[in-house]
Amino acid sequence: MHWINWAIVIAYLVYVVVDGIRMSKDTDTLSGYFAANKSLSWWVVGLSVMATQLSAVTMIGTTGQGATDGLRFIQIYLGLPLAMVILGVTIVPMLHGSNVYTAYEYLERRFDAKTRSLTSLLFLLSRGMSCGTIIAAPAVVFSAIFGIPVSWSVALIGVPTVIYTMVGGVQAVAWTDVKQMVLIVVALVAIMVVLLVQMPVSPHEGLRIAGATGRLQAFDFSFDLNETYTFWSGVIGGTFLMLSYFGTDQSQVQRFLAAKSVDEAKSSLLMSAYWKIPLQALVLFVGVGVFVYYQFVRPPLLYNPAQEAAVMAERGDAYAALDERYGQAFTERETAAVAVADADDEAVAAAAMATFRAREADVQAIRAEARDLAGEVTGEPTGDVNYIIPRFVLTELPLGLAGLFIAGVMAAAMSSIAAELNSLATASVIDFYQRWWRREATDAHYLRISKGATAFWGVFACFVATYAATLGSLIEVVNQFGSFFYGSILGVFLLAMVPRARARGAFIGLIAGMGVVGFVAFRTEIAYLWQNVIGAVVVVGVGVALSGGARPEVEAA
Amino acid sequence: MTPDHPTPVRGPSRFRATLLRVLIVQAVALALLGLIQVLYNA
Repeated sequence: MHWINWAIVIAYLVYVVVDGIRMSKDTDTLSGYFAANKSLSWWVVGLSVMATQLSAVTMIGTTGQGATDGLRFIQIYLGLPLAMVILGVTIVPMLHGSNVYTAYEYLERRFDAKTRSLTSLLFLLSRGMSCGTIIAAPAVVFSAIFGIPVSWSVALIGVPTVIYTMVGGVQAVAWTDVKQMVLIVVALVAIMVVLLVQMPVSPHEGLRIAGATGRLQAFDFSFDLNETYTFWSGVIGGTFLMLSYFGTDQSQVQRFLAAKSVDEAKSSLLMSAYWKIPLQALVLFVGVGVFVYYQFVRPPLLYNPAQEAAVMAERGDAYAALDERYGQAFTERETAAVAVADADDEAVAAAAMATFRAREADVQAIRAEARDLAGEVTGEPTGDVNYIIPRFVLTELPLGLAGLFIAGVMAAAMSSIAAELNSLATASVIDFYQRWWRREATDAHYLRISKGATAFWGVFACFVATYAATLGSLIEVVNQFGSFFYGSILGVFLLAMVPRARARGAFIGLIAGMGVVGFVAFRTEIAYLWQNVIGAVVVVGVGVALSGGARPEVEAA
Repeated sequence: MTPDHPTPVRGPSRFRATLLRVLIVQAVALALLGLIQVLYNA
């Protein structure tokens, strides 16, 4: 990468650390450190919520998914606006008005200590691991692209984040999120503008080419429980997923707990409801745009430069032969794409599209052969969706914009990691240390422990990220385990709103919900978005049923 | 009978005002995506 691009990335890293520390005020009390003394405006919280949710995976993985799979992924967000409205009138006032530091703390007041501890423990387990994977995804890509060890790219992303999160607490996290969110949007818009300017065909012709391969299918109205992305799984399953993520996950709840008032907290969530679908559409359209662009500019046979170099070094002849066939297939596909763009009546267009789809299949078949070759040589996974956009950015964007995009990817990663570290530290200290070990101590004492907890989780996340490849199956298990209780935890909070619900019902309901979702995940083909619905419904059903005969005064003791 | 203190009038909350705008923006965004799908997706 050119030194000017590096200078932009380094300037961003320095700025974000300095600014994060500078914006931290009154962090010498526990309330200041974990809840910003409930002083943040709705727009700060709103941008912070959006930045937390948008990770580096969105910047490199979802854009890549747009290039390979089109707009279908947007359906996962169809339930988000509805979820935000529901949260605004249910969980937000309930938690904000309770003056709690963690969502789980509320569950002890409503139910009992073991329900609180179990939900908080589940949060720590899943988020602790996922924090590592959030660093690992961009770190692995940066490592391959820039030819640096994974540990260096992990440190480049992780160390600055740990520093400002540890020093400044939730205020540093929220205020840096605001700037990071602006940078992310600017980077995405800049790429889109460059694509539109550099594209050899008009937007109308580009849309026809993308549409010919089915990449413009945003909605699938079939009702198939086994299909991951459909309109119905997005509206129903997606609503439950978003209710759980934004309403019960401490990494998000902590943001709106820091808002000035309940009304400001509600409004902050509506910002996501407002912008998430348009923003996600922009992300996916960037990918679709890159797909169309690569119909006219020859892309590399393998997008992962490290694997490309390894194959060329060890199997140079085989790779050269594939590359020659790839060049031929690319030229034929380009001709077919031009025919699609130029087709002026329906019959001609239909024939041109059929030819184009056949040529596209030829190109993909040769790429699949190249990936198999890379797998034989390196022994590593060869999926290269995450490398499409970074490779495009570094080779096709004007000087400076590549640096801006890489800084944007780092901003996306850091904003998510910071929120997770901050919330992991909060749950560790408030739900465990303060609850079970030291119930009475000075704020100074708890602050020392909190900063230590932030550092611990930061080091833990960097360790997981560095060894993500070797920990692969473990991380997968934990992530899968995590998806088992997302809907179930939501169920416990829904149960909290049922007046007759009691602690025994909540605790057993939570375990029953996780058990049923685990069974569904392992023994059926039902798509994961529906598991959130199943988990929540089982918890509420079992919880209400078991609360019938319970005596509240006994449970409260 | 006139109350001693005027009844406080609640202004429209930002939440409700924003909610209306959210619904409009989402409807427009989804309609645009749907239109692109109908017009261009083969």
